[in-house]
Order: sequence, then C-alpha cells, then structure tokens
Amino acid sequence: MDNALIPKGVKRCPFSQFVILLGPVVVVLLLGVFAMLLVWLKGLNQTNMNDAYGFAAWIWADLTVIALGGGAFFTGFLRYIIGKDELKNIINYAVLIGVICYSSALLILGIDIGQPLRGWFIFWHANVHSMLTEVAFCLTVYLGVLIIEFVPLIMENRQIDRVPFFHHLGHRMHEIMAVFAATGAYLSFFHQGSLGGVAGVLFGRPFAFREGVFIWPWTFFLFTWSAAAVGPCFTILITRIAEKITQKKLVKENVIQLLAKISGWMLATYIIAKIIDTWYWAAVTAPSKGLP
Amino acid sequence: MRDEKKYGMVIDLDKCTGCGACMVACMAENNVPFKEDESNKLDSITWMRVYKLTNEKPFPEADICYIPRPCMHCEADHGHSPCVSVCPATATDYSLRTGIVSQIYSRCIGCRYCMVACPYHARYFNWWDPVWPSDMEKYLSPNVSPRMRGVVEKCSFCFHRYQLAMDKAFLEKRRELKENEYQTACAQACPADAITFGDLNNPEHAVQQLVRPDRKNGGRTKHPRAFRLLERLGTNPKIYYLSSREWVRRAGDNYLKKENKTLSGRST
Repeated sequence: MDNALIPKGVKRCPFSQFVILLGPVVVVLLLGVFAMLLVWLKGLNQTNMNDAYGFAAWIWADLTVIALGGGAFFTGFLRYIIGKDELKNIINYAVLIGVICYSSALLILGIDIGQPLRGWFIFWHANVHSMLTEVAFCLTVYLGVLIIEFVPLIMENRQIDRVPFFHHLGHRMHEIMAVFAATGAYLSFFHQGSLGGVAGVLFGRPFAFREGVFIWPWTFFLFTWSAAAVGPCFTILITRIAEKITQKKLVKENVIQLLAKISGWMLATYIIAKIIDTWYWAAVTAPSKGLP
Repeated sequence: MRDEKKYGMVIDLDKCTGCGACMVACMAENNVPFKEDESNKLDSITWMRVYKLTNEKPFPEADICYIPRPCMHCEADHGHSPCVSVCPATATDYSLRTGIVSQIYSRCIGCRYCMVACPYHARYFNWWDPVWPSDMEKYLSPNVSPRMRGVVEKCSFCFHRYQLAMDKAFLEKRRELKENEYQTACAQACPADAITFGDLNNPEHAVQQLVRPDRKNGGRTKHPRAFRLLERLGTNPKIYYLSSREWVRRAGDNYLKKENKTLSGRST
C-alpha cells in the first residue's frame, strides 16, 4: 500500500519487531511528555531543584541533546565549506538528528523557565550583555536554518518528488544549501561558544569565572572547539547504534574513519588548550578572587 | 552630580543580637510569601536573612556572630552588577539615580541565571504560588505587588518607600529627600539600632559618616572595623558591616592560609 513512499530495494521488517524496537523509545518519550506536563501544570517545584541548585534542567539537556546535535553543524561545515565530499552519505541524517536535538533543546528551554509564556521576552526585551540572550537567539535562528536544510530531504521522497513544484523547490534549495550550511555553522559556532560563556562571564563566581578576550571568556572558545571536536563522534556513535539495530552497513568505513581522524586531532588539541586554561585559572584567576 | 545617590547600609555586627526582627519586618513589608512547612530553607524566600557565624573554636574561645544579609546592590568597577548583566530579558536593572538593583517581576521569565550569578545568594525563586492563610490577605501591603510562581525576587531596599517619599517631596516642590524620609523596614525594625540606612554619597547621612566610602575607588572604606562581603570579587557591595572582632571580618571573605592581612580593617 505504501510502496510508493519507501525507497527502492528496502523492505519493511515484521510489525512485531517494529513495535518491540520502537517500544523503549516510546516509553522514554512518554515519560518526557509526563514530566513536561508536570512542570507546566504544577511548576518547577516538581523538579526537586532549589535555590542552591537552580540551574540544572536545561544545562543537563544542553549538554546531552546539543552535543548530539553538534554533529550536524560541524559535519555540515566540513561537507559544504571545507568540501569533504565523502560526507555526502552522512550529512542527511546528521541534519535530521540536528533538527530533532535542537528542537528538543528549545522545548526544554521552554519547560525550564519559570514563566514559559514569557519566553518571547528574551527577544522582545533582549539584553545584549547576556550570554543567555545569545544562546536563545542562536538556537532559534539555527533551528530555522536546520529546518531549511531538512526540507530538501523531505522533497526527495519519490511520491512528493512527482509534484513539479516540490521537485524544483527541492532541487533549487539543494543548490543554495552551501549558503545555509555556512550560516548554520556560523550560528552554531556562536551558540556553542555562548553556552561556554554562560558560566565563564560570572565574575562573582570564581569557580566558574574565566578571563578572556574582550567580552568573551576563554570557555567561549573552548566550548566551540570541543563541540566541533565531539560532534562528529556523536554522529559516528548514532551511526553505529543505527547499524546495530538495523543490522545493515549504512555508511562506508572511509567516511567513519575520516570523521574519527578529524575528531581525534581536534580533541587532542582541545585537551592541551583545556589543561592550559585550567592551570591559568588555578594559578592566577581563582587566587585573585580569594578562592583558596 | 547632585542627583546621583547611592543608597546603602551599614550594619554593626557588634550590636546585632540575631533577634530576626529585620527578617520579620521585611517579610511583612514586602509581602514575601512563605510555606506551611518552612523547614527546608533551600526553597524558602527570605529577602533579608540572618546567618549565624561561629569561630569554630572550643570553649572558652568559642564565639558567635549574627550577620544579616540583604541584597548587596552591587556595582562593580566596570559598572555591572553580577546579576544585572546576565539577565536575558532585562528584568533586573541598576538605577544610576539611586544605586538600587531593581527586579521587574512581570518581566522576569524565571530562567534563574541571575541567581547563579549572585555570589551572596540574595536572589530567590518562587518555586510555588504564594498562598497566604485566609484573612491574612487583608494584611498584605498594598504598595508591593505579590509575586507569582516562576519568577525571581530579592530585596529592593523597600523601593516603594522611596517612591512614596519622592511623591511627597514632589508635591512639596522638593527634589531631595531628607534622611529620615526614606528608611527601609529592616532598619526601622532593628531594636538594637544595628542597621543604618541612607545615601552613601551624602555627607550629611549617617551611613556616609560611619564608613566614609571612597567614591572614586568603588566605595572602598578605610574604617578599621568595616568590611564588605567577598570584597575581592570586585562586586563593590553597598552593604558595609562593622565588627571589632578580627575573625568576623576575616569570615567576610576568602583568604589564602598564608595571608595574614584582612582587606579592610586592621591587620592581624
């Protein structure tokens, strides 16, 4: 019945297997929806956060889903800007994961703030000095870019492709995708950095405070570097998980190896930079603020 | 500038008995909500909070000190307060006219970034909707709006009192307030007269005479008994504490073990 909607040469698995494999994901999703409704209806007191530990939920989410989504921006950067053509096999689902992760991150921001209906105040009454403003702006605009990147993937569906308008739209969008990939990479670099800056700018909190360049603490650059380094790792991880579950070889080994090499080198340099940063903080910054 | 004021406080810890009258007065004056069970202090709201310090020595050297802690209304040398610069929705602001850090409850989105940024734990989140026992709502102050669930609140130096006093002054065609026209609830309630409130820029005000803050140097003081909390963070609090006890002054900041000099006050 739905043959026209699935690619050639691919077969559906038995329905029972489909349900069993999807079951755990649905359970986690339902738990998330339940938690979301609890917070929205009863308030953030349901989270067990308190005044001494008040900044937990979205930071946790950002360090998980944004890290997973980080694969999209850096893979896109390598594919469209640096021109690593081997990555064309992996870019589509890196973008798909990016859309899922970034939309989840925005949703979690909407759950984590005490007054979700006032979330738009960040844009309306924006305080340009705040790192969180930068995070919110970059996340939102980048999600828009990801959706633009995602649309041509939907257009590739054979049934949709038969409609001339969608066929041409998908084709044209694909042609100019490098522009959006560049915009996306730029935005994503900035928001990963501003996430690092969130704690780094707190000059009243010596354990988090970092000096830096102009308004940006060193953690701004370190976060960007680490996100770019680890993003491809997560893309590889998800590839491996998908290959395990589907029991199919989905991505060529040379693509995986290319990403792994880039990641490895970037992580190695990151570790050196992070050690220098921590040493400077422990030897200079923290004592100057009276942290013994 | 004649207009520019810096309202601040001097709290004499030698006089403070830890009775908590300042806390009660603050709660009543500012409609601060409370819970039926207040045993968990990690999610209850106290704009003014009295902490107990001990010198951690055994008898007979054992000593204690009570230290009331309102919002410090910081203004660092670069002009930012730790909390004001981080608020994404501009819901908290620093007034150059009064030196007071304000909080706009109806604009706060409840992200709690300011609470993370504040080194004094002076900011509190409304984890619950405020519920007052029946009939008690009639006793709420009509001059202060109660806050809703999901926003951050903190000491405002009883800003509504400043507004009322300014209204009266304008009616009498004055631009300046006398010292006794604007006083915070905690300062008026203290039975030991430990809290002094006023304009730190005005030489006629008691706070200025007590600590003589150096305006060009972030309000630092050379008073031998005075100190500010976490002075070396550079937040320049407008709350000054006085104590004749060295260990109390040292408790106000972090010191390396090898350091034998306090930031303000006498050296050991």
